[in-house]
Amino acid sequence: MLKVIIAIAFVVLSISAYAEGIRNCTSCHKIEKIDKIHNLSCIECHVLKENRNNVYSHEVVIKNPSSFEYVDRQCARCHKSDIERVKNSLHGTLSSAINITRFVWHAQGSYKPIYGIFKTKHLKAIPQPKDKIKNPADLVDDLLRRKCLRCHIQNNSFGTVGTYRAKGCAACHMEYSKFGRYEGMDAIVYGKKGFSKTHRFFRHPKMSSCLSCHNNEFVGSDYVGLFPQDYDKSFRSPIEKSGYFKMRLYGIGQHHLSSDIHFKKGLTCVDCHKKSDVMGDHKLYERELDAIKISCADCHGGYNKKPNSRFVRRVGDVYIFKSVNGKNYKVSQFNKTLDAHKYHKNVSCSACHSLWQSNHFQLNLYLDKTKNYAMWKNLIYQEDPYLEQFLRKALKNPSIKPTMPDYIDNKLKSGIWYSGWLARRWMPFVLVKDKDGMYRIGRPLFQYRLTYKDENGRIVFDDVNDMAAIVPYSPHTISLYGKSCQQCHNNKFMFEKNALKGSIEELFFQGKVLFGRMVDNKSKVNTLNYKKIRFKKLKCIFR
Amino acid sequence: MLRSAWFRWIAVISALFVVVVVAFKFSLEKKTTIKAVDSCVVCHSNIKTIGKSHPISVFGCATCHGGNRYATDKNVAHKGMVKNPARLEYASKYCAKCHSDVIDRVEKSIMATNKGIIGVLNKKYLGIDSYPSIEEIKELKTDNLTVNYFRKMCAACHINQLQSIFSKQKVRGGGCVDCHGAKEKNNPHTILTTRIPSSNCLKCHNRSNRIGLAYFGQFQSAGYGTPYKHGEFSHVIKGGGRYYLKLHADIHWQKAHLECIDCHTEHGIMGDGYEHKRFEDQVVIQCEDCHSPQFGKPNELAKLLAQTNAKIPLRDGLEIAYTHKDFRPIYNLQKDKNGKILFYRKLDGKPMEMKLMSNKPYHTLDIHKKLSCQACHSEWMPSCYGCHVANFKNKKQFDWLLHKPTKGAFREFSSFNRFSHPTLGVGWKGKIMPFAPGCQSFVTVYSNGIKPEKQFYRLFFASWDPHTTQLKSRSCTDCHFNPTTLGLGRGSLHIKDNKIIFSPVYNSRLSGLPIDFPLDAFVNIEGKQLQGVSIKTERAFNKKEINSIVSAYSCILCHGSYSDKVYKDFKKSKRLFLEGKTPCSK
Repeated sequence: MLKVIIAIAFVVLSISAYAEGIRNCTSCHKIEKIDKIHNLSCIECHVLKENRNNVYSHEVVIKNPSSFEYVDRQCARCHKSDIERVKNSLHGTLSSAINITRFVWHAQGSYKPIYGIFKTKHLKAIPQPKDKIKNPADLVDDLLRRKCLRCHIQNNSFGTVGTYRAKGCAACHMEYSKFGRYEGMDAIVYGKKGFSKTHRFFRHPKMSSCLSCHNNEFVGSDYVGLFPQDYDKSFRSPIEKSGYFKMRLYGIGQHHLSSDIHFKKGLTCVDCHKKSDVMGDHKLYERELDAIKISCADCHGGYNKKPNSRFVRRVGDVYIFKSVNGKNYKVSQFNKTLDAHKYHKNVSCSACHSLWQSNHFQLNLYLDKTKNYAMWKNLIYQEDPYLEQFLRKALKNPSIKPTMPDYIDNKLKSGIWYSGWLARRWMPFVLVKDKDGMYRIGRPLFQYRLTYKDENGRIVFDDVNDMAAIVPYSPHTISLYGKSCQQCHNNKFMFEKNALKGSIEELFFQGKVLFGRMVDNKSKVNTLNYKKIRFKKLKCIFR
Repeated sequence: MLRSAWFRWIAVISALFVVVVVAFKFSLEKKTTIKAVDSCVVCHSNIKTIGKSHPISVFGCATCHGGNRYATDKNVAHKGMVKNPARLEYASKYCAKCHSDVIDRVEKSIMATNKGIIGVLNKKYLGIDSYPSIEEIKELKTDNLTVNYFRKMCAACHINQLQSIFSKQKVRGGGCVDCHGAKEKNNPHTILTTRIPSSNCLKCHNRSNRIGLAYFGQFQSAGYGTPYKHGEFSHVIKGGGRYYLKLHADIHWQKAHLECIDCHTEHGIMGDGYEHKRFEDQVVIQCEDCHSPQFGKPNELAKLLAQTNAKIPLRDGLEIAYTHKDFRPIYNLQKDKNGKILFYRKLDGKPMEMKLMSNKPYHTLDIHKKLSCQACHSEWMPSCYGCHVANFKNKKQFDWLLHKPTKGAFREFSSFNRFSHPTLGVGWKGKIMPFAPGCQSFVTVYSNGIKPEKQFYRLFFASWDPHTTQLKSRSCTDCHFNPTTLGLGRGSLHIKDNKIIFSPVYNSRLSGLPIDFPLDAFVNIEGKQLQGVSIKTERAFNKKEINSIVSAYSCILCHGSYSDKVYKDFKKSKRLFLEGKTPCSK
C-alpha cells in the first residue's frame, strides 16, 4: 500500500514539477539572454497570449515568434512601423525578382511592380501556377514559386551549408551557424539542427545572414570573393589535407577570387547597407539598384558631393568612418583631379573599380515531369539543396515521383526544375548605359532557355530562347585600381561583335537590356583625347 | 643494212611478245576476279573488298591473315590464322612483306611508343629525365606512380591497343588499321586506305586540351550539355559523356575543309625511323612549308604517295614542295611550269589555290621576328586549370596495358576550364609561342581510409599550336596590354609611379590550393617564373620582356598599324623618342 502511495505521490509530484518547469523554461533551458533590450520572459515571446495560462506542453510554444505568421502579434507592440516597412520592402515582397522575371518571360507587359510574394496594399500575391500550359509564359509562376523564391525571408526550408536561416525578422537579425546547428549555452538544444547559432538578436545583422541568400550568382558572396564552381561532378575540387573535397558552400564548391577591398579591411554588409536600404522605405521599387540609397560618395565624396555626415564624421582634415563593430577607419577621399576621374563623370564607380564580375551565361531550365533521373547523375549539385537531396534519393530509387516544393504554399508539386549554364566567367563584361545616364556593368540576369517535358514524356517546349535580359548592376568586388583602361576601351564584347560571330561568345551578352541600353559605339570611347591622356601615363615606362 | 633489218625484226617480235604476255596476264587477272584465289571466301563470301590497293583477287586472304588457304574446314583453315595482322607484332611479319620500311618506322614512332606522355609524367612526378616506351614499361613489374597513372588513365589511346576491349562506337588501336582502317556499310572487313579521314585521328586526339577538337571549333565545356535539345543534352563530343562549346574552327577547316592528313605528312605521323622523345621532335610540318614553300622535283617517295592516294595527279614537269625540316615531300602542294601553285586535298583530290605569306609589313618588320605564326594567328587556346588527381593505392582500376583490373585507381577533377586568347611565352625553338597549363597536377595519394598518405603538386605550362588559326591575327592590345597573354594570369594591369603593377583575380590559397600565386599565373610581374615547363629551353617572359612588351603599348595607342612609319626602323624611332625629337615626346 505504502508503495502505491509513494508511487502516486511521485507521479503527481513529477507532473506538477513538469508543469511548473514549463512555466520556468529556464530550469531546463539554460539559455542565453536574447539581448539587452528585450527584457522579456520566455513565454512573452514564445507563447501566444491566449495560451499563456495553460502552458503544459511544448505544443503551445512557438519556435520563432518573429516569423510573419506571428510577428504582428508578438513583435508589433514595439516594432509596428518596422514590420510594416519590411513587409513592403523588396526583401519582404521580392517584387523586383517576380515582376522582372515575369516581364522577361512575356507574362506581363512591364516590369513595374504588380505582384509580390504576399498580397500587400499595393501588390497582388503572385498567381498560382497555371494548370494548362500553352505558352512558355504559363510556366513562369511555377518557376518562381519552386526555384527562385526559395530565397525569401519567410522561407527557410531545405538548407545546406551556409544557407541555414530563420523566417521573419530572425532571418536577418539572428545568426545561424554554417551547418545550421545551435552552439549556445542550452545543453538540451546544443548541436541540434534547425536552431540559430545562439539565442541572440543582433541589431546589426551578421554577414552570414545576408549571405545565406545573397550568394552564388548574386551580389553578396562576390564581396567576400566567392565565385561558384561548375555543376559537373568532375569540378569537385580541390582535395584538402584531410583527404576530403573542399566543403561546398551554398550548395556548390567555391573559387576564391580577390575579395572586395572593404571586406579585406573588415567592413560587413550592414556597414554600408543601412535600414533604409534593407528594410525599405514604404515605396515600391522596380529593382534593387533603385532601392539602394547608399552610394560610394556617401563616404568617399564625389564630384560635387561632400561625404554624408550620417556615415562619416569629419575630424580636422580627415573623414572617419565607424563600423558597426566599433572600429574607426580613415576614409580616403575621392580625387577629382585624377585623369581617370576627370573624364568619367558619368561612369559609376563600380564599373571601373570592380576587379571582376560574376557572369553566368544562359540559364537553361528544364522542367521534367517524368522520372528521367539518370540523365542528371553527374549534375546533382545545382545550387539547390532540395534538388541535391532529391536526386541522391532518386538515383538510388528511380521509382520515386518527381516532386519539388512550392516555397510559397509549401506543397510538393509534380515536376522537377533542372538547370544548367552555358558558361560561368569572371572576366568578360559589357557596359550598359543606365536610365539615369550612368554607365554600369551589365550582366545577364538571366538569359533563360526553357525545355518542358510533361507527364507523358512529350516535349512541350523545346529550348525556347526568347527570354533574355541584361541588367546594369554594381559588382561588389571593389579594388583600389580596378579595371585597366583598355578593358573597356578595347572591349570586344561591346565593340567587336562582328569578330565574335559564329562563336559561342556571341551569345554571352545577348539579350534585351533592361533599364538602359548597351554601349557599342567605339568611336565615342576611343577618342584622340583618350589616347593622349593614356599615352601620358604610359610613356613613363617607355625606356 | 642487213644488221638493222635483223634488229627491226627482233624489235617487232619482242614487242609482239610483250603484247601477248601482257594480254595473257590481263585475261588471267580478269579470270581471277571471278574465281577467288583462296578458299576462305567459300565461307566468307560477304567480304567483297578490303580497299583498292589490296585487291583480294591478287592478295587472297592468307597472304595477310595466315592460316591454311586451301582448306575449307574451319578448324583446318583457321589454324595459325591471325585475326588482325595489322597489329604491330604481326605487321612485321605480314604487312612487312611489302611495307617493311614503314613498319619499322611506325614501331619507333611516338604514336607507338607514347614516349612523350610517359617521359613528361616521369619528369613531373618523379623528377627524372627518362622517356621509356610502352613496350618497355609493359615489362616493368614495379609500378611507380608514373607508370601506374599512364596504364590507367592514358594507355587506352595507343595505336597498338587491343580493339576488342572497346565498345563498338569507340574502337581504337589495332596497329596499322587504327589510322588506315575505314568502315564501309555492309562490309564486315575493314577497308585499308591512305586517305585517312580525320574521324580516325579524333578517336584519340580529342581530350580537353588537345588539338583535334579545337581544329574543328569545339571546346570541351564544363559538362552542362546545354542548351537542351529535344529534351536531351546537346553538343555532345563524339564518344559521349562530354560536351562542347562551339567556337571558331581553324581557318583551314572553315575555308578549305582540310583534314588532319592534308598537313600532317607521313613522316610526321609515322616517324622517320628515329625514336623521338616527344611529338615536337617527330612532327615535320610547319606553317611556312606551305605558305612560303620551297619546291623541287618530285622524288620517288612523292610519286609513290601520290600513286597510293590515287586522287591527286602528279604530272610530269611539275614541282612539289618540300618541308623545311628534314626536306620531306609534300606531294599535294604542286607548282606548274607557269608558277601556279595548287594545293590538293588528299581525301578528294580537290585542288585549291595556295595563299602565300604576304610581304606586308607585319610579316617583314623585325619588331616581331621572334614571333611564331601561332602566337598571332591562333584565336583561342583551350586551357584546363588545375588537375586534381586522387590516387587510391588499394582500389582496382582497369589497366589498359594488361587488360585487367589491377591495384591503383585514379580519379581526376578540375578547377576550371577556359578558352581565351593564348598566353604567350618563349617556346623550345626560341620563338614566342602560345602556352597553356599542361598539366597542373595536385596529387593526393590514399592508401587506407580517407587520410591521405601523401599530397604533392606539380604545376607545368607547355607550349603548343592550338590549331585555332585565323586569317586575321589578334589585335595589338591583345598582347601588349593583356596580363593573360603576358602570362600573369587574369586580372588588371596598371601603371603607377612609373611601374607596372598587376592585380590578380584568382586567390589560390583561399580557394584551397597549396600555392601562393594565382593558378593561371605562369610568371609574376617581377618576371619570376612560377610554374614549371617540361622542356628545359621553354620559359615565361622575363621582367625585361614584360616591360618592353607593355611599354610598346604606349606607341600602339596612336600608331595602331604596322604600316606606320615608326615601325620601319623601330630602334631609331625609339632613340628619337627618348631623345625628345619626335612630336609625341616633345
